[in-house]
Amino acid sequence: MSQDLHMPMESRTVLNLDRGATQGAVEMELLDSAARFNLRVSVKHIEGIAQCIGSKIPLTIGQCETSENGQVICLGPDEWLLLTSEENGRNWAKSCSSLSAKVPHSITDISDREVTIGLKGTAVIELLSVGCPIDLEKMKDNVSRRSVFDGVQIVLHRCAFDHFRVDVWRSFLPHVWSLLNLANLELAAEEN
Amino acid sequence: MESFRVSGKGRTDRNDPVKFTFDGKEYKGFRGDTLASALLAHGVHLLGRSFKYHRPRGIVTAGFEEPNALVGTRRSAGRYEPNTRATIQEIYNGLGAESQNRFPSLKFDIGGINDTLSPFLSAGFYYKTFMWPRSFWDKVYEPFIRAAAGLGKAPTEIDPDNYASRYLHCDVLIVGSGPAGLAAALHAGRSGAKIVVVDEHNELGGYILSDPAMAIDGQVSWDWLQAALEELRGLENVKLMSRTTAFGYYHQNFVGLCQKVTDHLDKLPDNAPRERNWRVRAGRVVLAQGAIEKPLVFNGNDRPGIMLAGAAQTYLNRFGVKVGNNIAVVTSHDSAYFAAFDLATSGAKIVAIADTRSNISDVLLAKAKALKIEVLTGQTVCGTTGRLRIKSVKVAKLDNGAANSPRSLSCDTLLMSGGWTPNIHLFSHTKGSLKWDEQSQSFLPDHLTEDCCLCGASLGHWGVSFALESGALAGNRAASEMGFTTENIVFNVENDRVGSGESVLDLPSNISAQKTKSFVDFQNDVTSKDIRLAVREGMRSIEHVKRYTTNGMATDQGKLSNVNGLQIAADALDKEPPQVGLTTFRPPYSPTTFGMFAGYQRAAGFELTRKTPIHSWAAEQGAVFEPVSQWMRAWYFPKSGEGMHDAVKRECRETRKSLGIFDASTLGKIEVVGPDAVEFMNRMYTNPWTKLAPGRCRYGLLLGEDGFIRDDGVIGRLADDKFHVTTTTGGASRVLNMMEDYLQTEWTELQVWLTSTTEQWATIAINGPNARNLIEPFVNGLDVSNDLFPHMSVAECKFAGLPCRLFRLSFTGELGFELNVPARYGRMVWEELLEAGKKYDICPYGTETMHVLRAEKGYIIVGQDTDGTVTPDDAGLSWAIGKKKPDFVGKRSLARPDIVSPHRKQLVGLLTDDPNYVVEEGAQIVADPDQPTPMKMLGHVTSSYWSEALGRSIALALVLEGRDRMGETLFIPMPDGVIPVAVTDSIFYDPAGDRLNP
Repeated sequence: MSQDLHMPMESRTVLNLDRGATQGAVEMELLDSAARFNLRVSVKHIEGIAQCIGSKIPLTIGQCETSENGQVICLGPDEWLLLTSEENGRNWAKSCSSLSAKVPHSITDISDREVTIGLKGTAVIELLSVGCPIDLEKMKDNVSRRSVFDGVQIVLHRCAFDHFRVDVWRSFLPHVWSLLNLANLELAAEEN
Repeated sequence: MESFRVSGKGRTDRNDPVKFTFDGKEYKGFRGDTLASALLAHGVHLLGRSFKYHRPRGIVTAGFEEPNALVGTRRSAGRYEPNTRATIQEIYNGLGAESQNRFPSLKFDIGGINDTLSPFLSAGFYYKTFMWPRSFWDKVYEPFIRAAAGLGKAPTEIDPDNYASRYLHCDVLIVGSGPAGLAAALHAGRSGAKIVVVDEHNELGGYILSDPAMAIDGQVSWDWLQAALEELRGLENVKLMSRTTAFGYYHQNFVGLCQKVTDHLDKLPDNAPRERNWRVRAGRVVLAQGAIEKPLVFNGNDRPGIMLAGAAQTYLNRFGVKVGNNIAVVTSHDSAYFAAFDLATSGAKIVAIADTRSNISDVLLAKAKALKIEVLTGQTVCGTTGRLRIKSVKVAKLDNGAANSPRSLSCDTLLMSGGWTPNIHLFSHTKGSLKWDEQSQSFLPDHLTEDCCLCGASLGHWGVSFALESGALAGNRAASEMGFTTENIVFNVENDRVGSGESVLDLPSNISAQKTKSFVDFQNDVTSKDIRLAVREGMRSIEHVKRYTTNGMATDQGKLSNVNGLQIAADALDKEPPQVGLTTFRPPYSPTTFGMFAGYQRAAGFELTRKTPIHSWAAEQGAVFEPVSQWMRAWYFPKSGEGMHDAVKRECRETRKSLGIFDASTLGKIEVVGPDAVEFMNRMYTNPWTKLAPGRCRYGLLLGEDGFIRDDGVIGRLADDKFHVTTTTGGASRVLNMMEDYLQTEWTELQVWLTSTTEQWATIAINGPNARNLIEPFVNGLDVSNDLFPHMSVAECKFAGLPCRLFRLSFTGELGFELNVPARYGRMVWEELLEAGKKYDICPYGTETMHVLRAEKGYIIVGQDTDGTVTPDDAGLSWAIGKKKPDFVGKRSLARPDIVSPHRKQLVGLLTDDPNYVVEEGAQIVADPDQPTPMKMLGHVTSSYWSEALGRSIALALVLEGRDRMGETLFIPMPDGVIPVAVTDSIFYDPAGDRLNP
């Protein structure tokens, strides 16, 4: 895997094409960066946060709330992933920081910790099944799961029946990407 | 010339001829043939030599259980496989096969001398012979045994193929696609359940493929099969997989499948893997694995041309190949009659059927009579003749256990059947219990440990009607247990060849038992004589008999030999078989390639390797890297002509002189946030945190409950309720897990949350007298002067316009800063700093220089200077313990008598008498080098380097009562001499710390 993946995010989409990933059965791309936060708070204090970020906060693990401000994804009993624009992100962080004393919580910027791979195509589940042990067919649209891919921690989001997003830690990306790419070519060979 | 191909018979494609070679000779077969069926069509039975006695051997079976017909196959360079089963390998254009275990040729093999020597090579031969003299073992016996061992040659080239893997989830997994599996599939499939059907053969259908004379529901069996498969293929919820072996059944219905993807193709498609490992998680598993025919154990039962009757039926009906022209049959079971009848009607002459039983059904006798086949009852087999192919078999009437008036039958082929053994291998993997069934003389499944059920012949009942019926039940049960509505279908079978038989031991001969060779395990050359000998020599359990004789220990895992071996051992012991026991079958079910198990974990994908955002820059500069836990870190940056030592010397010199820059991004980082953050830190780390003001940082020490050092790092307090914790590179995930463990199980009342930020930040360490001069112009919103931003400070600011967490700290003893910027900008900031640092002769340095610089200051590295048995006091870090704190992880252990004992190893410095000698890390230290061995070791060297700053070597060591030995001379015995060393303080450079605050 080339070193280029550590270059600023903006240039990556271009690199992608050079790597021949689109020859596979599934369209693979590295998505542009967004602001992401790890939100930790007790459910009893959830309302305060919801007001600050101007979005409902889902309480079922895997559930995702999408609003014009971004997405709020429940990953655990007291853990959420917030996705939004960089500008919105700054505002959210600011308005939440004024809450601290009344609403004990932790909101940590992880925008650079992870990168997101977009996968689109009818064979997307087969592609992911190369490394992900969960039953992906049972995942409903607009649902997220924390899982693993070939031993690497990921967060999966099913956008549509043929469309997934995979969040992976930055340094794990080359490993995950190259395996997906290899398997994608394998799938294409199967279709032929 | 395919003289044994029967026109109008079989399922191979006569319009698609295929050419292949065997031992260099070209042969022709048809698409759909296995190597075995194609060779049999040419009358070739001899395929290899046996393992121990090098006896000529031929094809015995038509399936996965084949013990003899193992060949080497080659497709192209690198694609050589030893021990391929000729009965499974499909032929393709260009396939090259060769026989194994013979020299110089298959027909004349020098190793055959072992056969003549066989009276001296009995069971336990190796154990008895190679015992003494002891000194012969290493040089003579072991090399000899190793050279003689193994069938085939291990490949020497790198395997160019890819191996793939996938996870698969289904409601019902059905293993086996014979009548039982198909009935289960039809029932479960129609219910709408998601089902997967696997079969190891290239075609689905199992036994049905071998019996076209049968009719199911008024249809010829093959028409019925085609309709059933078409229906299943039309169902979206059904996945049919041929050439796929369920090799292992693991916990909670996790079943491993090996799918052969390309081994049958003329041309390899681009990007296709050779094999794919499917990791299936099934709601229910239906095991429809059928039964394996049991050979008869008689004198000379291993000659080429002797095969199982069922296999002959398969070769005839499925492949259109008649296995011989003059065929004799010996049997203790009805099923051999059916094979004989099919062959007789296809033009082969059945010399006779010799049956061990006296009472045979009238129906069979009448049919035999109609086909003019002589049936001999109450028979035994005395022996056979023929070296490379059977020529005759001698049968005799068995009278009170004695073989009377033997009669020789000329033949070119001998079919045998000792009945059938239910295939319970996968069931056995689940550790489900077995019970001995007296009637069928076999082990049958008893208590289930997994959500599975068995059906068909694996239950010990024969016939297609039973298979369909039990398969239907199994399919319905599995689907309905998974919540689907099912409907029962009743099948009607005509011409069902149910059959029955008796179970027999090794057949008596008219010659002395000591002179017979009645093989139980063909592949490992184990005879019934060997098994009886093992019992005479004291083996009581089948586990011992197995290991003493190697019965069942070959690549076929005793598929043919286990039950015969057990029954003979039980007879010799005069016990019932279950009292002697059955060995456990373990995965894999049949030989499976290493490639499949390795899967994607090869070459670049072999192991996950993590790289920092600055890695690409270091690589471009020609840095040499070293692995540190999962990461690759720049070790040193050699300039042209420099070796490691010169590069490290230069990096050390330039950093201390002016300015060094270091990529510290791999350090673990944990954000600890919440109103109880400080309480959490107090409990976790040894140090006191309450009075640490926001904007300050402190060295933190983490212990295990045992009081030993686990991790360390500098921790900054960013706000009353927020800490930025750093950990060692290798400790990052371990420390976070340990913290979460305490938080979630011990201290659930604390309102504090942990988030890994290791990869959020790129971390750049700037060290040297010019460190501040370099960074100052980049910093916005913070005064970094010595007064306002003193040593051990932390602040959030802007750096080059980017959000930054700036630490003032030092792991070198020089003025130092560590800046954390969002990871995506790491390389950009790094390069800007290098550009700006040119005027200070900025020097990028690697982990080796970092190690030297810290050792000069006596700073420890957890995992190098500690080994899991070092306390804070041992390491000279008592100052890092909050003495007034009520508790912290490990506090109680620090009061244990052995921990407070003064007689512990302590970290000290060592200076060699010869300043140019750098001692070896790990070297042992003694007080008196002249003492007799074994010497009393006082400790060992943990770190050792050339110190450029001091112009001499330095070392750190853990030494018994080390701090009381200051100034003492100790000794390091090395192969090239004894090295005297003086014990010193562990801080070698700038002990007053003046350089931290220039």
